[in-house]
Amino acid sequence: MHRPSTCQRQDALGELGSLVPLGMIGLLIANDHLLKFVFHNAVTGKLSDIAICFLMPLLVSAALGSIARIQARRRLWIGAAVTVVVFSALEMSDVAGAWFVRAVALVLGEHTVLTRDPTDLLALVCVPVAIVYGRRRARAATIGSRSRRLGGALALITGSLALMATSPAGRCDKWSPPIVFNVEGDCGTGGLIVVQADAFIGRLTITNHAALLAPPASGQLSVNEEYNGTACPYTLDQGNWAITYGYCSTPAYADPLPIGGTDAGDDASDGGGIDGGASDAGASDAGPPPDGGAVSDAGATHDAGAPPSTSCQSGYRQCQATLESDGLWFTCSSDTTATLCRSRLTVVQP
Amino acid sequence: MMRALLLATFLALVTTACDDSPCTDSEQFVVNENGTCSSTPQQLTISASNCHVSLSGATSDTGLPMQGAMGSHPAPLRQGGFLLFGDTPSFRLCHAQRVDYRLELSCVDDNDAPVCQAELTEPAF
Repeated sequence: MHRPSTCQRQDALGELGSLVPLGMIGLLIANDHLLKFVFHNAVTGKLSDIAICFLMPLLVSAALGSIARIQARRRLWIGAAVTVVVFSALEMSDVAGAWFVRAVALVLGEHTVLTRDPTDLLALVCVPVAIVYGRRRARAATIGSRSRRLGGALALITGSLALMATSPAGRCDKWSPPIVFNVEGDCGTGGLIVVQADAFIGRLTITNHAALLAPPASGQLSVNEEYNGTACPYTLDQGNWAITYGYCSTPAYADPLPIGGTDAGDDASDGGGIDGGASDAGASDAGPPPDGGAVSDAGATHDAGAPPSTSCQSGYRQCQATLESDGLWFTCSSDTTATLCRSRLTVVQP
Repeated sequence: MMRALLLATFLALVTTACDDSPCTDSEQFVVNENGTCSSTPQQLTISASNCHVSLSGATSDTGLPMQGAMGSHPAPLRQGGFLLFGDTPSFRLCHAQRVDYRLELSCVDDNDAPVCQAELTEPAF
């Protein structure tokens, strides 16, 4: 493959450096990171797809033009083919979706969630529009200015990042109704609870919390209650949700779980499994609070009060709702992996 | 020409867009509450927004949880099918059902034992 000359490279960038591609990138960023959260409607659901299907052929074409001597027309067709294949695969294939999520996590270090809707494929209409536009720009770029080439370079970088960081309005944009459970067991007082998870990050709201798990003790540092499954709408009745407490394990502060006759009484001495938090960190989706701090946050947490004035050794308790062969169970364990309590959850139909 | 083509494509796509969220429309109306949940009949406002339901404007204790949510098949409030739940001062869960021209709420406590029933009807003008 022949390397492009400096002029050819600049021309390729110049194709991107005009108002429409830059505007599309602005639209993509604004929609993904602002408009979806503010409006969350049919229009915001499609704007990103439109921007992606228009931008991607141009970005691929410009990137190819920067590294290889290929005619603009051929670059654009390659960009169009890549766009159609990638966009369709992400919309229709679970495997492709999983690969994309992993790639984004590797490159950007953030978890993204793909939401699928077959009507998104209509946005592919923008691909031929992008080709027509790109060919016009390719002709104009040969007489383009320096600012246009700089704009093209900027568009190539920000556009690539914006495409990777595209996100839904939340983790799940379908309605996930609250689920009513009857709780029987020794983790809480028992009785009916209502569990809901929010659309944005799957954070749980539990009504009548004490029936499931005792209310937080004063030594509690953080609590993370979250749906960890991948289904959308959420399938809370299938388990995959967890409650993780970080707490002070020094004698002055009680373990948040009211467990008698188990190792709960050993909290002061077991140091809360001070190192367990670190060693087991990857074992759970919810993730225990990291070890070694007075205040620890298990991902998205909401603090349950100010930390004590003196530092404490932290430990954690993790309670997981899991579907087992005989139904849904809520099991709490500590960082020493002992099972502290179990409660059975039965869905109550209205 | 190019701009017109872009604009036409954009408009065509947006108009064919569909939305997964079934609760995009907000609604709110005044109802009279009767039944055993409240000690006296009273008027209050029931509203829904983004699949969440709330009660407001009551002059005294309604005996009903003030918050709730749509069930698995969200519908306009007047069709029922929503839940009201809360744990202050004690846990109470109410299922709303449409019966004729009124909403009937059946409320249970945390033992799933019936606590009270309320009827919500729209005032006649």
